[in-house]
Amino acid sequence: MSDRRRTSAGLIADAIDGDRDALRDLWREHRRWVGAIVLAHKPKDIDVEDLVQAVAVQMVAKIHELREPEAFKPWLRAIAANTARAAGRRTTRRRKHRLRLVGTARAEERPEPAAPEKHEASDQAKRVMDLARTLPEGYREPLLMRCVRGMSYRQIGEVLDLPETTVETRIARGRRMLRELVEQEDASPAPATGGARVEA
Amino acid sequence: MADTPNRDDTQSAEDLARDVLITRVVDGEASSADWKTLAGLAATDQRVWAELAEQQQAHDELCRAVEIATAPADSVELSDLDDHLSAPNSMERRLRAVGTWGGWAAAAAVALLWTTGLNPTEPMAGDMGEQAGLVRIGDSPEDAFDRYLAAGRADGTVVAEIPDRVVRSVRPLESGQVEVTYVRQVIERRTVDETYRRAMDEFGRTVEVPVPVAPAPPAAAAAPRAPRAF
Repeated sequence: MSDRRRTSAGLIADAIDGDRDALRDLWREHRRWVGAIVLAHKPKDIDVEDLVQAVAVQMVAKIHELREPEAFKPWLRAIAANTARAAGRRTTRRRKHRLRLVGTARAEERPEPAAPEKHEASDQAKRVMDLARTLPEGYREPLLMRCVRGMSYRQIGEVLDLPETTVETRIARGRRMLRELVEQEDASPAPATGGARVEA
Repeated sequence: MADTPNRDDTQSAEDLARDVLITRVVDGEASSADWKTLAGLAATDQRVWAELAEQQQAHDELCRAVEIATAPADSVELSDLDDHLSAPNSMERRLRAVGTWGGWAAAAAVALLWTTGLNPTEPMAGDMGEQAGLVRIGDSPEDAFDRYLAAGRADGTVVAEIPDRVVRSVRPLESGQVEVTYVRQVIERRTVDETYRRAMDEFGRTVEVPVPVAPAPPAAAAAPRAPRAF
């Protein structure tokens, strides 16, 4: 390991230079918030894991084009957001042209129920997340990222290329908007989870 | 950034300061000065504690769901991508994995969804319901079905009809006759642009996931597919 690897900037620089170990470590360090960005933009019926994998492929293929290590996080964030948005556009476009032919699986070969830990999130938690995903992007991204292992305002700011104070303000406003959405949905006679929309 | 927030006009500076204060407390970023301000605020407005508790609960719920939803990201390793990048036949890889796990019987039973590149406004040769051109006035259903089979065989979308008709139910009628419900099985062939597999998302819901398929080697692609007799 080179000396500069000890810092995050050094790791990024090594990865840009083609060091595969640095690239692997760099990915591990950042993949979780990439998941949050993907979650903020992906359509409901696309797997987070598949999109994160697509982001990883893009990162590996294009990181050598990056000139400034400081630009790495916003660059990776842009890849994640664009990948998830593109998946959404494709889904919408192709659904119109879809012919469904579903094979018959025998009962014992049907997908096994998800592991219990996958159901830990309560319905209320899922509802709050679905509503958070309807917030304008400027609010939902920092709000979701804040939940990724307690990312600090500074770390979120580095990814979004925003000052800490702006991140803080957006999280505060985002939470208020989210609370209003929840109240609005609670008050509505026929709530449609995830269907709410807030205009910026 | 698209969708840039612009809520300044709808939220007073006082409300914003209050929200920021509560946010700092919820996020564990509050300084001792912030705590003093909060205590001062609570002295005149007790609702601030309830608001704080609500925000804390909403934050915890959101984070629980986000934690679960983003957990699959941790399983994406760049070492996996070596295989992915060098052999982009992801479907083959997935089926191989299923085959290893449960044998080819299980792999063959994987439910697939195909997406066609067909224009939905164009009638499809294999779709009875949209075959206005195939169904003539006066045709019996049997005639119409035979026409569909013939047209399908002609353009290659129908491979064959399996002779066995699978009985679903048998019901005696008052007339002494028997009503039989059965399935006629037609093997169709389509050229599709994309394939999907069914998967479970992070909450155990069934979702459709695109499965990239690498083109077949030119020799295999060029080889005519022999029709199979039934």
